Amino acid sequence: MGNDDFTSRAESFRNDVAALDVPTSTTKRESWLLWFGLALVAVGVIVVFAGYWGASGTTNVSEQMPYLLSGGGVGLALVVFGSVLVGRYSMARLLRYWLALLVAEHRTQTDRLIDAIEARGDGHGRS
Amino acid sequence: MSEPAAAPLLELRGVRASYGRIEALHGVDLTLPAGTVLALLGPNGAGKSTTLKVLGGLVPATHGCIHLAGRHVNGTETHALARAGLAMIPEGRGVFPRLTVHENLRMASHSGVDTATIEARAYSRFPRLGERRHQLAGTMSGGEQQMLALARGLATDPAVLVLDELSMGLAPLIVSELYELVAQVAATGVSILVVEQFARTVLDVADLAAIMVGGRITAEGRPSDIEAELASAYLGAST
Repeated sequence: MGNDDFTSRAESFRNDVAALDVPTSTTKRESWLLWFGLALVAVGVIVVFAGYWGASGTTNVSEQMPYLLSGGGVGLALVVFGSVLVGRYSMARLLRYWLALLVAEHRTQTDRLIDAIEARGDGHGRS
Repeated sequence: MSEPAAAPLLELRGVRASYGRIEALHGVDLTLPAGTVLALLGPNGAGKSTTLKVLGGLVPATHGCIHLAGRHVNGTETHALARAGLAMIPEGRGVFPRLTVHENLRMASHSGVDTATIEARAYSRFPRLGERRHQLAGTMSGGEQQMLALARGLATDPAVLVLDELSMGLAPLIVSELYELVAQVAATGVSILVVEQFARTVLDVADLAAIMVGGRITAEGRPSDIEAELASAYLGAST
């Protein structure tokens, strides 16, 4: 067994590691989806406005229908989908922060309680 | 013969890890070049096993980078690392005591290698296991159980083998025998990271060694270079 074994084994390992599915950071992905949601809302608003702009140029209802469908329908769908993404991922941050706050407050309360019990114990001990 | 400069198979850079609020690793730097045996030594509680757990994705690194073959792999699932060629033999062997040797080896077939190949590899390397093929693992001696753990780890033909406290609970003679096997495995091209509390035997087979104390690497180099540091590391003298 010589250098060839080392090289081929190492080379095959390098290839396998290169094919690994390494997860990206959750925070990074959440942040990306939040911004993507915001972008969808912005695009949706522009599409709705463009639809309105097109439809307002004519009084003929049959000519207004395509603007209503593509501007109103698609634009509104983008706004709704974007808002769901923004809501979901901003809410995740908020809830995470809220949970951390609860845990911190709980710890502080426990420390206070322990201090109070110890202080009371000391008082009893001395009397 | 000069090898082309390639990224080491395994590399930790500034790795920190915690159990709850207690930080166990305070910035560990470690490198395992291809085709070498690296011994990670240190007293009890130094963070050696935690380093291995971080490496295998069992404990998340809070800071720092884990590189395999030059690729950043922080957060990768343990089973994915195992499939890529990282085999880990945990402290305490991790064999199934109520299963036979054959059944224990079969457990390694999840990786896609068929049982017949796994057994052929295991018994050619460890003939004693072949003799005890139908024996319950829990009824074998500590040394034989460790052999079984090694055989199962090697069954998937890994590129990197990580051994945690191979000598734990074994007689010195058995430990020497096992390290001879480790040297044979290393000669087949497997890169090995060995964590050991008892330094002497492992230094005979290691190409490189590192000493870990208090969650930090305090010395690293060739075994002959770090031997002088061992006493202070184990006896707790300030360095």
